[in-house]
Amino acid sequence: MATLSVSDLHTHYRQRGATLRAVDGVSFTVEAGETVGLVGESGCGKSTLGKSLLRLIEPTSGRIEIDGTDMGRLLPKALAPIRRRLQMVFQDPFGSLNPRHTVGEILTGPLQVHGLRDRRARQQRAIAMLDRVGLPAASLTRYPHEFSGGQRQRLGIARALILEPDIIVCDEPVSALDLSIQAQILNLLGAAKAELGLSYLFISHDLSVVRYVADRILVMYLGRIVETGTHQSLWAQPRHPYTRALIDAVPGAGQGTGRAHLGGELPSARQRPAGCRFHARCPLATEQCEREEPTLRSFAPDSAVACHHAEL
Amino acid sequence: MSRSASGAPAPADTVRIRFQAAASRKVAPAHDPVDQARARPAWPIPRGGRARRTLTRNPAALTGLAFLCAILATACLAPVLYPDDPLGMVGRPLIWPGQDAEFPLGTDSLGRDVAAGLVHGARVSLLVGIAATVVGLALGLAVGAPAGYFGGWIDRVLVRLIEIFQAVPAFILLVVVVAIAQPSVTTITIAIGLVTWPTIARLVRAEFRAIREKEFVMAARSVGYGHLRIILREILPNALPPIIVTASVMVASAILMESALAFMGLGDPNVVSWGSMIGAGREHLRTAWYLTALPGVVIVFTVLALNLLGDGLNDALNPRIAAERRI
Amino acid sequence: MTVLLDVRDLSISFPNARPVQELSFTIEEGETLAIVGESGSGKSLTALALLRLLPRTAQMSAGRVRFAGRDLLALSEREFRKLRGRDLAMIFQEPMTALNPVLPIGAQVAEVLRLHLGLSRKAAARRAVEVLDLVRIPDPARRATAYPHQLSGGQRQRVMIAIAVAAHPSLLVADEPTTALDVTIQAQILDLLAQLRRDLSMALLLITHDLGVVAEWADRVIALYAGRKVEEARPEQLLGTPRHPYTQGLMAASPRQRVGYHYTDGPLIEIPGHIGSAAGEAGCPFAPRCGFTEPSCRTSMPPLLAREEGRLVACPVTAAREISHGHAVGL
Repeated sequence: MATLSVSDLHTHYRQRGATLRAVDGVSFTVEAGETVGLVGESGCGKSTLGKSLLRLIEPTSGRIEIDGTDMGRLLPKALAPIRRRLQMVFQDPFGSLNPRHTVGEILTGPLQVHGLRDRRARQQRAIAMLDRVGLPAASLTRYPHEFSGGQRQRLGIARALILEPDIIVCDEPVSALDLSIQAQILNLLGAAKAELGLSYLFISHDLSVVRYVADRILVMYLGRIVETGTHQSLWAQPRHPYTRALIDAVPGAGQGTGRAHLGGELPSARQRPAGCRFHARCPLATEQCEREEPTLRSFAPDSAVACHHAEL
Repeated sequence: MSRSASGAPAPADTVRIRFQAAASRKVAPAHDPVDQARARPAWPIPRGGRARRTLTRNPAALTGLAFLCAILATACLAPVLYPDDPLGMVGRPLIWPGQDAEFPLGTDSLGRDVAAGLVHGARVSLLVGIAATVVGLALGLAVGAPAGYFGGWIDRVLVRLIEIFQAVPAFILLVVVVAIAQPSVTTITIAIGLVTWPTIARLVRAEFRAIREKEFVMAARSVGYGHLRIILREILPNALPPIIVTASVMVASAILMESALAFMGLGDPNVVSWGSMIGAGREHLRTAWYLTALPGVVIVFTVLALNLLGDGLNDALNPRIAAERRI
Repeated sequence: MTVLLDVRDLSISFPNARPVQELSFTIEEGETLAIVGESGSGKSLTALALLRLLPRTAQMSAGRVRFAGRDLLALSEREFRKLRGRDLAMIFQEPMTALNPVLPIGAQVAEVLRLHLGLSRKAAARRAVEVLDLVRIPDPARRATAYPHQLSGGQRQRVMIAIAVAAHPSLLVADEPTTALDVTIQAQILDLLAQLRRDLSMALLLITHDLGVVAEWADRVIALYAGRKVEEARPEQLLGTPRHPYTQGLMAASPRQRVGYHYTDGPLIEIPGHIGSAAGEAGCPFAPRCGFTEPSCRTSMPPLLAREEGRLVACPVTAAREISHGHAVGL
């Protein structure tokens, strides 16, 4: 049974009179115990998508279901018990913790809001959680600025885990961290998943990280998913020219083999090109691509591509 | 998914399987946060200790603080120092300061003791100054916080309200309100609060708008905090530093407003204030200038002290700005 | 090949920290030297020190800094200003803050040309368009009148590069030039830098935290840890067979260096702890996180030992182990 199911999700912003379609019709599922990676460049809408799932940004239309319960229609009060099953780890370990709260307040606050009345029990849960993410119990009375970046990201993970969610949206959780700390955090997330049976939606611009953590990958371009695939198939045989370009652009991947890099830049989502969103930068573009927008075509279980010229 | 199928939240004390062994085995040793704090440069978040240190190293702010404490002590001790009514006629009129040891600062045209007036006036001036600021802060927060936090139509409506108050010159509005409501310490306090809140409201709104976008507010929403909790517990503590600084300067301007009202004869007739003393001494400006000069000097120094303290607080509570200024 | 820049024993200290200690390196003409390190390694301060752009509270000392035959330490502030931007230029990580927001980009490029090459206003404006074309800004004549906020991040970085190379410097210092950019744009910018380096025969000092960037675009690489050089090698040496416990740990911890490794295969190898203080304690700065420490590691900084051709490593322990085991440890 699908844990999280998203269908035809749109999130649009009004900006200086124009409509910015940050998320423009996205459908996918995250199964129980699965890690789905979401990759794309900045401005492709991946972060907006993650925040729309938790309704931190209100989606414009579409359905977000957790075990069949439609999250999008619930009023704030009814949303609370559902929301605790879907939590988020944020990118910025400095900005996502309130600088004026102690670690204790940061970790026990969610429990209090979700109806755990006993102060001592909250405290104990917080200490157990700190222990799990590898921080000493003495951290409770300290403030976020007393911790290093990696330690703060551990706190962010502890805050997401303390409500015992089923799914965690990880929005670039290691992008702000140094390489030697990244591995610590990725291993922590991996261990949490293994032992708690969590699912992750892992959002990142870093393909190597997604390649390591994800079971299934969604590639997003200008508000739409252009390719999905399993971790075995997608890296081995990318079908969409954009996916191929992304993989080629990873520095060090080609070891200086003089391959051609993708030209042009991501156009603004406000002036989305007609036809295929990618045609202006695409090496395979034909006249058909300028007219018709390709839809996602499935060619294997868990694999689909939105390109007129993809060989299926 | 057994856990999600059951749906019910796990009881508080269930501790799920530990994955700590795998997670923290390698990180534990180097992870004493105390060591951490020592090793890294302090993140520029004002904490009690650092802010206090900055403040106590600022001679100007300390001077202001000392002067205010002295005024405050005098105000509190007024009934002990001068137990009689400061409006009572106690001596010959227009004794110059230093002429009579019984009245070190002289007497006014009605034979009232100037020193007693200044000491009791400090009570009224400080009371009005602080209370009016509290009223202004309360109103300003009540309007500014929701405007900045919610945005949208709530913001538009509340901003219109602020603009309506700001469209009328503050002092004229003050005179009108006091004239209608009969001058007394209470009405004057409320009236001053009523004309000063838009400044606070604008500041609070700007702060809330900026902090609302911070990721920790997003995080607070993601764990299910309500609006009130986010406003009061998440955003407000982070918005406080500039508000405190503005408040200290607002006390000074409230004292000035009260003095100006009293000078115009719109003060509370039953109490003596610094402003009313200046007003009363106005007619003798050429012959007995000390009657206006003495309360004037006290007002100037009090206002100056409050501004020095405000500057000091600004440096202490907004370390980033302070650091830029030093460069 | 002649040595363009020769730095000996560069140290930078703040009142309560010593973020760079006794760093020596050389750059040859036309060469790309990369300095890699994590935040707190002192790599950016090193770049700033070369251009005398350190914050005021910083103290710099060096045994020698020679650039194109001149002793940089002996130059007056006035002489240095002439050099900076003309022979020695720098680009930064965040192009938006490094560009003047109220001036059109063409004017900003022209300003450098007038200042350093003494061109007339008209000639400078014409050259500015050529330089913008050189960094492949599309439609440069029209774009020259655009303001920084009208450009994308990648375009802004191109403008920064245009300003830096306008006077044909012999050394360009690039401090994390692509960190703020997307991968596809990053590749474009680094390709451009490589092309310019060839066309203008300039040397490049590339400061980065990204080992992938090093692999593809550097001729030689220095790994810094907490202000100390721990290894110097050619990129394929460093990435293929790292010799210092820190660089070995980095390679093992990086998902990018272990292509195809998946979480289902097991956890990544971690470097425990985090980069420590830069207060300047005795001993190897990596010792608290290192798995191979000897007592001597904690008392004095191990000297840089020459290993195979063109390689220096500051670790006596791995050297001894390799001799006994016949291969690199830790991998």
